[in-house]
Amino acid sequence: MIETIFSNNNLSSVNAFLVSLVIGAAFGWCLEQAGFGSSRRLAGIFYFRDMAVLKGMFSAVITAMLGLGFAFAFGIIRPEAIYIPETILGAQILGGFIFGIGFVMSGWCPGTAVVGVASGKFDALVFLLGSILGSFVFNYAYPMIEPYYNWGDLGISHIYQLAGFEFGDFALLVTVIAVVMFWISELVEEKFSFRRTAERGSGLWAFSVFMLIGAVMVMALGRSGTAGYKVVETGLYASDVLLHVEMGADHIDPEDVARELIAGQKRVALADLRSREEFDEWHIPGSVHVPVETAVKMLERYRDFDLIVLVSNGSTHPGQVWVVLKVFGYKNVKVMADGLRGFFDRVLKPVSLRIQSLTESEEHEINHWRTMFLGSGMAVGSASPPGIGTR
Amino acid sequence: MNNEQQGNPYLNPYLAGFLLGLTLLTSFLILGAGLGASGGLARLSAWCGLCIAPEQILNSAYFGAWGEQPLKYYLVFMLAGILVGGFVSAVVNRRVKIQTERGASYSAGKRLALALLGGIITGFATRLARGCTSGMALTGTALLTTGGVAFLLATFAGGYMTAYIFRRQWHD
Repeated sequence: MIETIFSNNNLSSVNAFLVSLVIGAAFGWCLEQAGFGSSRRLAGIFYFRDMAVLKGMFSAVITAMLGLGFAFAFGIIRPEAIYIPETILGAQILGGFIFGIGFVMSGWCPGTAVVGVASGKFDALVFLLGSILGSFVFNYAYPMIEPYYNWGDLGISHIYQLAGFEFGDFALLVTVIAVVMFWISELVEEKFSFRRTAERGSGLWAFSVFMLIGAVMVMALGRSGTAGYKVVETGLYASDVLLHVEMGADHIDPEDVARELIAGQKRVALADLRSREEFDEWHIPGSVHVPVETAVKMLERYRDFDLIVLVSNGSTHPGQVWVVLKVFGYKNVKVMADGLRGFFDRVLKPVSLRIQSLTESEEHEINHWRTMFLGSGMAVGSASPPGIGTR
Repeated sequence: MNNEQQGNPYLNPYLAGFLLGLTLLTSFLILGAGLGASGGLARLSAWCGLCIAPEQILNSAYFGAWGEQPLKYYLVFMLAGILVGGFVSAVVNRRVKIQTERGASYSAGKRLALALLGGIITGFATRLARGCTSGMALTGTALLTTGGVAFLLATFAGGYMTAYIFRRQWHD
């Protein structure tokens, strides 16, 4: 598995700046080659005259998406080695709508306008000055519009998960939609600009078939189930993993689990590895049932959480699962020390039954835990990660 | 009438898009982040602000978080790269021409006014949405993020709903 500049936390290094410069140059070259250094061509999509924006954009989207699908399936890269832009749904729908108005008004968007300036377009330069001014206006308006800025914060959210799809299945759907749109674009151009572009014909046939085959392969690799879950090179040293064990970084005390859940500051997933019957009988409110056999796959969706806590009656099973998860590149996973027995003993046991002497604040905390975890069970609902309890 | 057709013809947009997709994929695999343009512009905006009123900018809630050297950011360098790459491609294909692109029957002044106003609106919107066509629509959709897809659809909605109002600037 490869590490990225982002996963090595080096995005502010000179090295990262040089790589960005080179990637930017390739980006600018592609944009100019596509003819996106022309506002007339960019605006053409909104008048159905020139659909090059749609063709270029969706070709790029499906190429990168399927490439990532292969990279994930063959274990070339871990998903969390890539920075995923967060979803703030309300802000992005509102911002996108306003952006679309600015786009059609000016005939430019930021990246293409830079290419426009490079090819001598004065309107692109004026657009960029406007854009810099617009960012400036935003900075001043920020205190007033902050609620809209954070409107609909979903954190890292994938549309295929919302739709109940696997990545590969959804990628195939997107590819099919893109290919259909390519062919519609050709018909639209023919109708509205009375010309048949040279782009249609054997080239588009070959491209459509190539992309669809790629998409089917990505879907099949995802379906086979083993692809993403066979042991791959994680770049971990056994000594590092064992050092974690020695340092005690592999486990977390039940009291701390209780505190994290109640504080609700971090995104914590509590994975209960016991049998379904035991889980149904009683579980810590907010925990999710995860059968040992499927733990690697089921916990995938909590991979980017701040903490995944493994829970069972004792700590043998969680300890074994912990090692497997480490091998699969999970970083933030811990075993709850002493298991549920420990949780009962150290968190839930009433003050009156405890032998050790307690300070007043300790007694207060224990009583608070008891109401939170044994009361209605609703109180810690807010601390449970999204998605838990619904699946 | 057609002032865009100087120099070599453009590359087939599907092929250009495919190469753009490979660039984005390379960015994911090496940089660990996608492409972006508006982030660099906003940093430039913060830097301009610092030159005029440093105290005020450093104390502002949004730009202030970027500190005294907002240009030390990977997207600023990517922005510079876009300029270089675009320039090389335009020169090699003899497509550099100083002009204000517009329909033949539309005045340059009005066209520039629309470009300026559209720029201001766009600059504002990218900060609200945390990205533009590159960082949100392209990168976000390739990663199948909910926000990326929503931004892309909203952009087309906003564009198509108001396209009629701005059609005259392209009339020859």
